[in-house]
Amino acid sequence: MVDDRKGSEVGADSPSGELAFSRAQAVAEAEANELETRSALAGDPEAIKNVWRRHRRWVAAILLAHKPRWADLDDLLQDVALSVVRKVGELRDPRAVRPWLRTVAINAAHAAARSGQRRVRDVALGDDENLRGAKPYGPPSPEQEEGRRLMDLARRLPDGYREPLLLKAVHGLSYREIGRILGLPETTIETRIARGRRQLRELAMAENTGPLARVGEDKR
Amino acid sequence: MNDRTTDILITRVIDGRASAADWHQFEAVAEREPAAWRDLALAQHDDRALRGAVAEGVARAESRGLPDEASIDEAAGTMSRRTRRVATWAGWAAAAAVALAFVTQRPQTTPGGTPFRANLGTPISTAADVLSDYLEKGRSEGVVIDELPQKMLVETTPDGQGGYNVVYLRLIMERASVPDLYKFSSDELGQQAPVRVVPVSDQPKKPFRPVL
Repeated sequence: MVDDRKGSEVGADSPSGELAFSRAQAVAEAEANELETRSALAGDPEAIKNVWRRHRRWVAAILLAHKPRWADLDDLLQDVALSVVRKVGELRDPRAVRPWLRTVAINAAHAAARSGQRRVRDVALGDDENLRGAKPYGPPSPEQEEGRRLMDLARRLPDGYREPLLLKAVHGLSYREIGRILGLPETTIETRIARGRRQLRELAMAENTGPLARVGEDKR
Repeated sequence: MNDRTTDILITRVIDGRASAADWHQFEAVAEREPAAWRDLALAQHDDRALRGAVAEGVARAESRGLPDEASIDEAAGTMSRRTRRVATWAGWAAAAAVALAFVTQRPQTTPGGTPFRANLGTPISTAADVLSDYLEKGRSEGVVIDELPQKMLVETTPDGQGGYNVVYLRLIMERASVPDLYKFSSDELGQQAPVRVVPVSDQPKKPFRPVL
């Protein structure tokens, strides 16, 4: 029987340390973050920017978990960013920022699904912000294709498994962080990720995709 | 040992959380069920591929800064200008909408409880009936010239049942008598100010001077 783990380290997933924080460092950073979040809620523009920078990576994962396949991730990120600027000051409790951001992201993704329309984005020439994210067009690599196929399959998982699985795929996000975003204990997160991975594999097998399918093709 | 236990052990290995005891336990499982090694390899493969796909989205998020209030206001201003532009060419349609709103906001029943009837003597049943009544009465009073046959398409969206929701403008041409005409113009401080418009026919005729 596997042991049920309770988080004993702040900011670390395991005694070996997925994140190399000492307890004192982690506590200091958590306190600094909370102070900054309080400043953001009070309307400090620089603090609001930093709060967004701190959370936007996992917000992208939540959007990926809930958006329809065709919806533009950039548009949805813009929607969430606008809500942050306009409404984060309405929050009173810094601890409410994560669940609030998650709700905003889910609502943005669901609104896109309801509207059913693809927005045409105006891209200004010479706009550095647009050029920064630009990549040369070209056919996706086999790894990219495989990743997108699995992402499509992951979207078919139940909400409870899909979100933890995609959040774990965000580099550097610990079980503790995922638990705080979803409002669940770490042990539940671990169980859901494990089950999510199993279900994803079963879906991939059923769809005959993945490395084993390729081996089969090679043999033919 | 069951699948749930194996799945959790595999997840701990993938996420770098497996302790020595977890590894020992996994090896024991794999000794009895060698397919566990294959499951581990496939789960690692899926995890790598999924991380790659999510990383693309995360990279986009990292280049997404917060819009500042000024740019939001500018965007709102652009929207407002767009609305004004639509209102300019669709002024008559907007006027019709105002009239409709006035008619339809009246109470549906009289204080006595009897159904409200328009002056035309027909019970109000649908918006189309109301508009039809409005056009008819407008024509008889000389306010409405006619409704143009063209409709301006504004937006189409799938309705989720194989059809489409269509938003469009109906154009109604009206006539009005006013004592003066004004247009809005900007003064030297950039503030909007009404300026009286003199129709061409009222302007004093200038003597013709050929350009030499």
